[in-house]
Amino acid sequence: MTSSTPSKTFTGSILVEKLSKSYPMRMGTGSAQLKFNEVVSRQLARCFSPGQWGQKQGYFWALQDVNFEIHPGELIGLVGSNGSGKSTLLKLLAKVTKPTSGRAFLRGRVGSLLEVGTGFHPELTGFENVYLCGTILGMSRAEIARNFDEIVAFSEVGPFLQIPIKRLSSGMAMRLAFSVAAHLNPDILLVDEALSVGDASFQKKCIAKMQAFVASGATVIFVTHDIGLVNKWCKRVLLLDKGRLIEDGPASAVMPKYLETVSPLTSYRIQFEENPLAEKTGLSLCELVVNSGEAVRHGLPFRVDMTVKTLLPLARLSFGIVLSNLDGTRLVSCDSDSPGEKISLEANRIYSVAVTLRRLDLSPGSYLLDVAFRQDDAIALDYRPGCLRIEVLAPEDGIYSANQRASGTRPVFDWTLDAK
Amino acid sequence: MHELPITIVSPEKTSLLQIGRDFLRYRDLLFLLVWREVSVRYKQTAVGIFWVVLQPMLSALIFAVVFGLFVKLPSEGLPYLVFAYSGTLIWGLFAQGIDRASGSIVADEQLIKKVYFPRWIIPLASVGSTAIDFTICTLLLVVMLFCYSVPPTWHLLLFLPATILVFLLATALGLATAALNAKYRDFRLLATFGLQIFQFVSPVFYSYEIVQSKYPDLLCLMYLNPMAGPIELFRLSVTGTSHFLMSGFATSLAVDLVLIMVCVRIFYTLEDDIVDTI
Repeated sequence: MTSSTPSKTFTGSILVEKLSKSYPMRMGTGSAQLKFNEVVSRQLARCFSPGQWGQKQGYFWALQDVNFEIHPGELIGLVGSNGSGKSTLLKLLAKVTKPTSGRAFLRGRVGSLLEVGTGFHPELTGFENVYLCGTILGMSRAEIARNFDEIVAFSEVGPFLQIPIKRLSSGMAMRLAFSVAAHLNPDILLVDEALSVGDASFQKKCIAKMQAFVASGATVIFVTHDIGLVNKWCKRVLLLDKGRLIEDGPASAVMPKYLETVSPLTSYRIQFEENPLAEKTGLSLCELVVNSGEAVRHGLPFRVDMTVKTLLPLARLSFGIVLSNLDGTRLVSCDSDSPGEKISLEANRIYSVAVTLRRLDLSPGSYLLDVAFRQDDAIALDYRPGCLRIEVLAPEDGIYSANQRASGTRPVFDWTLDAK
Repeated sequence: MHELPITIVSPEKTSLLQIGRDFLRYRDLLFLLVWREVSVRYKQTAVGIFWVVLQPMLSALIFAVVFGLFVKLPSEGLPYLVFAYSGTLIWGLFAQGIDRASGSIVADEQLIKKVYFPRWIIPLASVGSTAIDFTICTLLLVVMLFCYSVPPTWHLLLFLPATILVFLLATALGLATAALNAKYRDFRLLATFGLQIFQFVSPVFYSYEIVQSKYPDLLCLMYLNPMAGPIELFRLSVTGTSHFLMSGFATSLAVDLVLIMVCVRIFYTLEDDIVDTI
């Protein structure tokens, strides 16, 4: 068996066989990078202690022995907790990085949208950037010229096309960037959390476009933390955990397992990994505590305390939390913004933000908490959908029947009964 | 469905055949990246593309005043300004090319982490943008030759070979330093510093004659410098000067070919790791 042929007949759209990717332990992120003198001293030490010859340093397996096959016309949701290997898998399929072992075969043109606005240059005009970004994503100049009017129409930034991108609002730049990517017309489209940036109407547009791709026989794999999206749109879901593919099946079967891996039941406190886009967006959520670590109970106040770090000065901010049920249906949402009054933050400071619901009306049960920090009501600076799974308990003196538990919310109410 | 090309993801290195195909497939991208470098560089400048000519012109002028007028260095019978400008011009293609290329991959870190295209395109585009500058500056050289009435000779045929040799040399060194710089940022600094030093041991504003007359033993050492031969070949092509040392050029050329092969090899070895180590 040579490495350039699949081990079984390949008739589908994507075939992945024993795909693995490892990174040396201390490499990868810039800050943890080995210093040159460390490498030299380590190599010297190895020379002088023959016992260690040939012994390799530790490896971290970002992805291990992943196998699956995808057929044309499938819309696949790729889920998993942070660091489970989702992005690594997409990067391997997009050829951005090479696997350590294993192979994958992709039929047709592959378009990857690992970030909205890849290749945009702030100094260049919208017109120039459409060409630059389109070419970088893999379109030929002729193709871009053919689709140019359509791209501009879709983005709705036509009048500003001759202005450098840096002078446009970030929302406009993003619409233009997505518009370019949307006209890539690939046979296989790989989408990393690109959708989580932007407002609801923008997301809707993205989803509609992806569905149009799938309807025309293309294959889409998209990574998301948004459970509602997956349940609604994906017939098939792949679940990664610690670099391994642990579930592959319909959303109804996989999503409950995903919830178990993503947020342990008893947690009322979460430390976040730094927002990967923090340098661009200027804000990263650090910590979140629910009810100061106490249990959450129906009918009692509910409080969320957050710590955020700013990297840039930020204006016109709003915060929001959402509680949804496990299907992703939004039940309670609390936004900070009252019109005309927006928050501004200084750069390089740590702020604590808190929101208190005077009374939590959710019935006892499991819910997911989303947290979002937005600018101009649209651009998500940091968005953590489903970051915590919250168990709402009955009040200590309350006893709830199964019937009462089944309802979504239980507000304060009074019944009256009069004989007439 | 079955005519669709199949992309293979595997740990193997890109084959030479594939690299050849990529050249054709990604040529639009290469041109666009060259164009991006050129247009971004002079955006929001008052005199724009004029900067391209200003830089080598000013340094040639300073050399002409200091070395031609004050020190009175021999200049192979040419007007000193022509002598210095032709040297600065070809040196600029080499030094600017390497300087821009060495930082290019790191500068486009966000890009290569998000999209695949052959990595060599980025440094190549950087050297390519220098070649555009070089072409513009050559026009000024033509004007200068005309003003000083230095007549064209059949040596002009050597203009393209000399330029291509320097372009390849800059590309190879640029590729290697760009890839090394992705892991250790020391290499960019090393390249910048090294080029400054090297300009003084290259015959940019002095001729080999001065070395030959004063330190004849050092002459062969001078031609171990990979740029010594190409600079003189370039000057020969545009001015038709009678001072050209064939054995010296041959030595330089041999060094150049080895250097190009080593550098390309370094890049080829490191290419796949760039995105993981950057």
